[in-house]
Amino acid sequence: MPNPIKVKATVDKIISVSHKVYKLLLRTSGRKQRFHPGQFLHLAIDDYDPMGGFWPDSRVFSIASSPSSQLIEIIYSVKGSFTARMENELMVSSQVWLKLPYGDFIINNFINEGNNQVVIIAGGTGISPFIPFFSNLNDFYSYSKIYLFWGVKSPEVFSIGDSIFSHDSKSALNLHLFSETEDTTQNAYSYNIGMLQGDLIINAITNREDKIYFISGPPEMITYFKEFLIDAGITESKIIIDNWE
Amino acid sequence: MINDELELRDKISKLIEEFYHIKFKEQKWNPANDPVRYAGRVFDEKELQSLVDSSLDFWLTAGRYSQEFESLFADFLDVDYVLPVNSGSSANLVAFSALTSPLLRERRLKAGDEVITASAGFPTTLNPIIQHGMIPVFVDIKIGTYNIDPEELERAITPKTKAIFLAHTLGNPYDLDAVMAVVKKHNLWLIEDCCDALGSKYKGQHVGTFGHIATCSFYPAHHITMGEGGCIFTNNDILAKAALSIRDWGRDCYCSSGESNTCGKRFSGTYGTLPKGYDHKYVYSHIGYNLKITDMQAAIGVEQMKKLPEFIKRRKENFKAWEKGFRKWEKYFILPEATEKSDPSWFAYPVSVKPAAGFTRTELVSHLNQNKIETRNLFGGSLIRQPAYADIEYKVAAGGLKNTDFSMNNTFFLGVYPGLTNEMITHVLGVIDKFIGD
Repeated sequence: MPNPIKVKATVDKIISVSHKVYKLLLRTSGRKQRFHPGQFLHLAIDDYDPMGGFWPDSRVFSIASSPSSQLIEIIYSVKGSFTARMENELMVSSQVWLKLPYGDFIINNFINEGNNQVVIIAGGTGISPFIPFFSNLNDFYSYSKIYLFWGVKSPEVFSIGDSIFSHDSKSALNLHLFSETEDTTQNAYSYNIGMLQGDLIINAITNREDKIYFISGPPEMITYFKEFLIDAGITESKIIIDNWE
Repeated sequence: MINDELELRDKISKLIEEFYHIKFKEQKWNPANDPVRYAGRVFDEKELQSLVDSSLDFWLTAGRYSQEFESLFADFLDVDYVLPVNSGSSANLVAFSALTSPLLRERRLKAGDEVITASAGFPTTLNPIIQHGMIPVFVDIKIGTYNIDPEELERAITPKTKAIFLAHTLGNPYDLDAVMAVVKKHNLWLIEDCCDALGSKYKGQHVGTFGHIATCSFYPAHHITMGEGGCIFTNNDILAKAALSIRDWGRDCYCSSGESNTCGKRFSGTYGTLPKGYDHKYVYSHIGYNLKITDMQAAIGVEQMKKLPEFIKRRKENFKAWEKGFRKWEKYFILPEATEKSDPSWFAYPVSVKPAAGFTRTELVSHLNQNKIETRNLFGGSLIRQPAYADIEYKVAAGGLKNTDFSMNNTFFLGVYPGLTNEMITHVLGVIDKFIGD
C-alpha cells in the first residue's frame, strides 16, 4: 500500500552495470511492498530501532522494479559519500532499512487526467522511475503515446532498461537513445553517439505544446531541459521533474 | 538481574495481564442493578499490553504502531491510503477540506458550491460544508433504511452541485448503485462517511471504497476504538496528499515526526514567492490543522483491528436477536431494513414508533431509561431544526423532509455492540413487552 512504511530488507543481488553504476535487488520481510510506478524510497545503511529510535542517515532512490515484483530494485551511481559507503559496505545478505513509498512523480496520474501523449527525458540512472511505469504497460496503444529520450555516458548503461525494450508492442514506442561514448562490443541497442540536446528533442516531436514532459536525471540536466522547454514555448505546468539534492 | 530491555518489556507485559484480570474481571451482569448500555469499548489484556508497550517506547507521536495500524486497516479495506486522525469528526473535516485543495485545480470545491447531504444525521457530516462556505442541499430519507431516498437525489441536482457527502446511516449502506450513477452522470465528488459502518458491504465491496474519499470513527461507541480517533481512507493519490497536508498543519513537507528531508529536496525547492531553497519543513501548501493521533492510540487500534472480524460478527448476531424479538410488534414499530444488495455491519438497531402505536417514542425511551436501558435518538433528528443551524444558508430538495421529520419524532435505536449479550437483549425485550402490555 502506498502508506509509507519502514521495513528491513536484505540485499539479494548486486549487479555492476558499468563503471560505478550498480543495480541493487532487495528482499523485504513480510508482505510485498505496494507503490506506484515513479515513486521513490529511502535507504539507510545503519541500523534502525523501531522501538523509539530515530531514522538514521539515508538517501533517496527511485524504485526501478515493477510493483508486481517480489524484489525491490534500485539503480545507483557512486557520486558522494553515502553511495561510496553503499559501494564499499553492501554485499549480498547485508541488511538495510527502507522507508517507502514516497513521491508524486506518478505518470499514470497525469495520463489519467487526459494528457494523451507524454515525453520522457532521462539522463543516466534517471531512467529508474520510468522502468516500473513501462513494466506496467502492456498494449500497443499505450506505447504509441510515449516519446522516450534517454542519454547515457556509455552504452552498457542501456542494459538497465532491458525491460523497456523487450516487448513486441514496444515497437510503437518513439525511442531515441544517446550515448556520449561508443562501444563497438555493445551492439544490443541502436543509439546515437553524442549528448542528448534540447533541440534534438524539440525537432523530433510534433504538436509539442500538447504533450506533458517528464524529466529525471542529475540536477543540472533537469535544469537545462526544463529551461530549454520553457524557452521553446512549453507551459511550465506541463513539465514534471523528479529532482533531488 | 534483569537488565535487558526486551526482558523488562516482557515482564511488564505479564504483569499487565495479571492486572487486567484483577481490574477488569468479568462480573456477571445483574438485570436488577446493572444497566444495558447501547455501546461500549470491548477489549482484553492485549489492548492494555500494546498501549503500555507503546508508552515504553515514549515515541508518543506516530511511530511503529501507527504504521502497523495503517497497514492492517488498509489491508482490511484493500485501500491505498489510510490517514489516522484524532476523531471521526476530524476525519470528515479533513476529507472535505481535501476537496478544496488547489491540487485539484478546476475541480476543487469553492465557497458557494452546493453539496448534497442529509438533515437526518450527525452534525459533523454537515459542519465541514458550512465551515467552507458551501450550501448544503438536504435530501429526505427513507424510513426503515434511514438513508437518503435515491429517487430524491436527482431532484436535488443543480448546476452548482459539486459533491455528495453522506453517512451510511447506523451501518446500513445507502444505495451505492444509484448514488454512483448520479456521481458519474454529473461529475460530482462523493465522500462516504463510514463512521458508523466499518465492515459494511454493498454488493460484496466495503463501503468507503466506492466514492473518492471516506472516513471512519474510533470513538468508543464505534466498531473499533482508540479512545478518541478516526481516519480518512482513499485510493486517490492527490486527495491523499491534500488530506495529509491538511491533517499536518497544512505543510507541504511529508516527513514523519523526528525525520528530515524525506522528499530529498529540503533546501532546493521553490514554493510560492518564498526564496529558492526555503526549508521545505516550513512550507505550507494548504490551510491546515494538527489532527494527528499518538502512537499509543494506534497501539490500541492495532489490537482492535485484530478483533474486528469477530466484532462485526457479534454486531450482526445482536441485530438478528433484536429483529427476532421485535418481529411480533410490527403493529407498533417500523422495523429496520438493510438496503438491497447490502450486508451491513450494524452500528445499532433502529426502530420507529408507529403513529397508531398507542404510545410515543418519548414515553417508551423514558420507560427504558428508568429501567437502566440505554437508547439513542437518530443523532440530531433533523439538523436544520437544531439551534446551531438556525441561521445557516441551505436548500431542501423538491421532495421536502417529511420522513426526516418523522424519524426526528419517532425513531430511536438500541445497541448491538459486541458487549451486549443475549441475556441483556432478552431482558430488554421483556421490559418492552411489559410496557406494551400495560
